[in-house]
Amino acid sequence: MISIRNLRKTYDKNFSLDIPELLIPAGQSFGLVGNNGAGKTTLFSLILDLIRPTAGSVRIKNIPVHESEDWKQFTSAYLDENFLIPYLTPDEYFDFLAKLRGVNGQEKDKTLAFFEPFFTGEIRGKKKYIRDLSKGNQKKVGIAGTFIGHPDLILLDEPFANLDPSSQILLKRLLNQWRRSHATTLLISSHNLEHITDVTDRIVLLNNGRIAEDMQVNEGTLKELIEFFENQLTEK
Amino acid sequence: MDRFGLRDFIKLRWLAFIRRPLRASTLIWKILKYIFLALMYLEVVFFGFFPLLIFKEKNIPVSRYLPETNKYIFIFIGFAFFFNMMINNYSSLKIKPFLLLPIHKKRIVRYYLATGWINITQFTLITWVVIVSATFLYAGVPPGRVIPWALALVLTSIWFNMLAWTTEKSPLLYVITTVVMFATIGLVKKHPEWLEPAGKIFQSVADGNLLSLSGFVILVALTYIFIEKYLLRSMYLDTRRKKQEKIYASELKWTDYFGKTGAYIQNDIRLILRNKRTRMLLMQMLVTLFYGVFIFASGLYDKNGQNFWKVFAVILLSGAFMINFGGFTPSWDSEYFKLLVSQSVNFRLYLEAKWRLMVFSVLVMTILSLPFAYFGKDVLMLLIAFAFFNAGINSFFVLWTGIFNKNPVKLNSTQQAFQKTQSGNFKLVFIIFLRILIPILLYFPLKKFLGFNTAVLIISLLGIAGMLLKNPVLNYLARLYNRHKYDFVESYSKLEEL
Repeated sequence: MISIRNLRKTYDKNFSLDIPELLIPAGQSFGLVGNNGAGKTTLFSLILDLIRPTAGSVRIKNIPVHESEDWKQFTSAYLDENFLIPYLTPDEYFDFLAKLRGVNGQEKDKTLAFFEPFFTGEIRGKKKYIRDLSKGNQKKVGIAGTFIGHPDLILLDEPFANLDPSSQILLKRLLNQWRRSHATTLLISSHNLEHITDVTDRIVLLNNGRIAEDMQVNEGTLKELIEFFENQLTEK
Repeated sequence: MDRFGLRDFIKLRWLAFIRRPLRASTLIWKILKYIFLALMYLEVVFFGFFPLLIFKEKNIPVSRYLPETNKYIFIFIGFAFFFNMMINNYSSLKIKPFLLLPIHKKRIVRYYLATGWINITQFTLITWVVIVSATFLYAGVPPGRVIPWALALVLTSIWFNMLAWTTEKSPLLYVITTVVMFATIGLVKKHPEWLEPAGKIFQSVADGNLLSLSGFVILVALTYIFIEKYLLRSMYLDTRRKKQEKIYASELKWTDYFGKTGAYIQNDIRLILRNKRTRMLLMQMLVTLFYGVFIFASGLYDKNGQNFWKVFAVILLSGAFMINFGGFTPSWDSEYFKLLVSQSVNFRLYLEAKWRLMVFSVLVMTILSLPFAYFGKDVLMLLIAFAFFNAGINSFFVLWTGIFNKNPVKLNSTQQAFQKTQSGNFKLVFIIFLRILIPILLYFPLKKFLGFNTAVLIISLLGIAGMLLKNPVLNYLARLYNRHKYDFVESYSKLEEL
């Protein structure tokens, strides 16, 4: 689904993201972890063509993202609240997304019905603008929005942050349920090691802009991750 | 509570000022702005020496210096007022970090007022007053007369600045002040004798009438107290956020007719109706209609066969909304720009929606302006010709200039009291002027060489041709927007950090 080759993004002397090769096959649920400044958001922004690489390229389904826009037809993302339109109600926002992706009302409603327990009745049918929702509810709107139209590739940056504990657990369940019934490729970043191991098949650990570990998720993964970050502390 | 002094505050403001994100496009604006201001101040300095030179040449006795100047003082005051209203550049303050610090709120407000009003436009009148006073003192006018007189003028300047700051906070006040300003200019043109009292007040100050001078002091003091109270009330995070905003629930079903473009049109309509900043655009349409009434009713254009203002008004009338709205493309969408560029949005449809909306606004404004046909058949012809031109040429030009405006727009800022609303910054005024000037520069040579009818015809045909060429032009603009995409993303995310 995604192939990254010789990708480099240099900001200044202090930081550069450098990925010689990274291949993410279709249907994989891919997790990204790393401390602040490791380059997670930079990588997501490069994949979404929000910033230009210094060298190398990102290809989605073999389409170079900075040359063609065709990859947008089957890609969606929620990185931060800059992906929400603040003056719309959640329903209008979902409609807008559905229209852009050429999805009919029925299909949209089906997707949203899947997320209904996640919304806890506070999102749909309420006459409230997104800007007046709480941070947690805004996040729910953003996450659910990415699934409208069943895109082949979905990027979620820190989906668990800002959610209350019940919603975090529920989101994990929903993501796993979705994975079982769809062949969607998921890219998820998180600081919560337990959550991320629960919802992914593979985890890549970024450290100072480099890939430090690339592991298939199994029972030992969580322990391995915790060890890595504990070692980071002692190294400093 | 006193560990945080004015010096610390000034230091913070200074750091905020020099550490603003600088972009290449802003740099060009900066240079243009400073060239403009330098020319402005050169003129102010020249006019500062002007009275003395004239009086010397005409052999006017020293005792008549002040009374003679006061006869024309309204020109300088009027200029300063106009300048203050049109171009203001107050600095914004993020109050959230200050709210929990052990500093009295009153102190923050005072510091903000002390530093936030340091505004380059404010010193035009003051510079003029200082130079005039100095030359008069040098010529032998007694200081007892010059100093109170100068003080009154400085207070006037400060008051104007306060007034401009206040009106910037409220679109309604801005509309009222602008209308009153134009109405005053119109009336005074017909009755110049109404201006005499203005000179008389300053004369009485110079004559040693303390009551007149204290009038100025009281006016400034009252305005200051009002503003301070207002800001103190605004020192909460939820100020000005209405409890529950009324939802404009219209489904706007008719936009479906436009297919995918319709989704954008629908969004743009909601954008305009649901945000403070954009609702101001609708207000400005109203102001423009008043402005048209002022220009035509005051007969500003009749003298010496001057048609400049007539053409100016006609372009502004049909283009009122377009010029403002289009110039902020894509800044209006800055708050969710990342969504637009990462989802299946293409700029072609995006721009087409904006364009259709602008053309629609031109149609509406032209219909609203039809009563101006009362002022002559030529007004009607010009109106229609430039409506075509606005829809077919200027609309694309406006979208093109949007590329150079990379400032994000805060659609619904809740801390408006401490923020600038960009209702009158230099760049905006300059761009708006340019957008009107270009068609004017095109029209006058045409009229001169080919006559009125042919000129009007050519202008209309150009507009129609532009509309027919919509597709290739929009394709070109979409490519351009695509190329600038990264810059937009970068500058829109930078301002949030500030």
